[in-house]
Amino acid sequence: MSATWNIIDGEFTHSDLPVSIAAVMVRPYPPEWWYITDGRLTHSALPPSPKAGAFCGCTSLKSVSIPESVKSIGEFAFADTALTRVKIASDCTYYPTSFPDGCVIEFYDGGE
Amino acid sequence: MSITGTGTIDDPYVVTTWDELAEKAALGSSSAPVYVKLGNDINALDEYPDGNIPRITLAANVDGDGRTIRNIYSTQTSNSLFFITSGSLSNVKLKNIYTYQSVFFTTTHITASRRTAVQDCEISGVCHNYFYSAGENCAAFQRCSLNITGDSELTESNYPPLFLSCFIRFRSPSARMFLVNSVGSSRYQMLEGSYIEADMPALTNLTRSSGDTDTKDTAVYIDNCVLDIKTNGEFSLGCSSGARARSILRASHAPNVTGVANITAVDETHWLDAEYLSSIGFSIEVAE
Repeated sequence: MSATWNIIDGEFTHSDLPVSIAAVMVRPYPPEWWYITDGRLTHSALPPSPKAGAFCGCTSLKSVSIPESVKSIGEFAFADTALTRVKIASDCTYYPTSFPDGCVIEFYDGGE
Repeated sequence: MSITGTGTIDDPYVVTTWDELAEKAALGSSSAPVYVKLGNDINALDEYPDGNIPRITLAANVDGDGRTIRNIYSTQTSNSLFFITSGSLSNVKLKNIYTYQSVFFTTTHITASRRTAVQDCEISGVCHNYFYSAGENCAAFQRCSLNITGDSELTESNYPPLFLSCFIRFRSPSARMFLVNSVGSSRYQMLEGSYIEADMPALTNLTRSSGDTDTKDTAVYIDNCVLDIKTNGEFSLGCSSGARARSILRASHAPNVTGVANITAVDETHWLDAEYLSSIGFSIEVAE
């Protein structure tokens, strides 16, 4: 064998040796290949997680009055509604998915 | 896109899908060679998302032209993704393989000459079977870079496979890496100028016969290689001794290795010490 090894950047190599390849599997995975994304266990054949908010999908819901005493609004609570603007307490916690895309969120203390 | 070309060496068939590749790669023989080239990258999931992907018979000489075939997903447990007969596969990247069958399989079409059938390829993915299985004599892999996660041996064959200047990264719970069935009293080159980086915690033998005896595991030559094999237990390298080119084994990752012939275990202090490695007979460049 004529190949003479060398050490480059801490790696053994020689002129005829290919570089090592790193990736074994990258997305997209085949069907039923499970993986964790955004903290959820899912697999490639599963549809997106169902939305389970209280008013989710109420497409005729155009306005809602949320008392200042409400301090928490769950994921998808008002997703897929016709809301364009809501007012909530400034210390109320909510998720990016709590309201439909583009809905303006106002706060009782005057902020937006 | 339709297939172009006439299949000659100067005007190869140019294929752009898995089905087209399967159609044209199956043509030809050693006496009437056919040539095929990939015309673009192929996403096999586009054609076969259900895992029922048909085998590619490599009777023709397929040049990947540096392109990639990705997402090769197979749920079949018999056969192989590529069945090499008289052909070859070169200069292609096979990425995101996920298969329950072997990636490559050869039979008696590969003669005792052990000709190179796969060269200049990058191959990575998950293989729930032998990566390479051979019914008789083995083909050679040359200048290939493998990154395979498996759950059995890397290869299974009657006679030892041949890896020339290959980078092999392999993870498996198997107790063996190369399963050799019936090599008899002959000696065969198995690894030459190659880098083996393996994570095999249950490894007991680098090579082993199917009967789980060690009578065959001394029937291979391992020359001029770097072996970096992580394992928890005691294992046998099982290569043939004699005046062979020196190979080195990373001792810190395989603390209980036994049966070393022309393979020198090197501790961590000297692992990247070219001067020391040269002094023990390993063919390595030493700075002036």
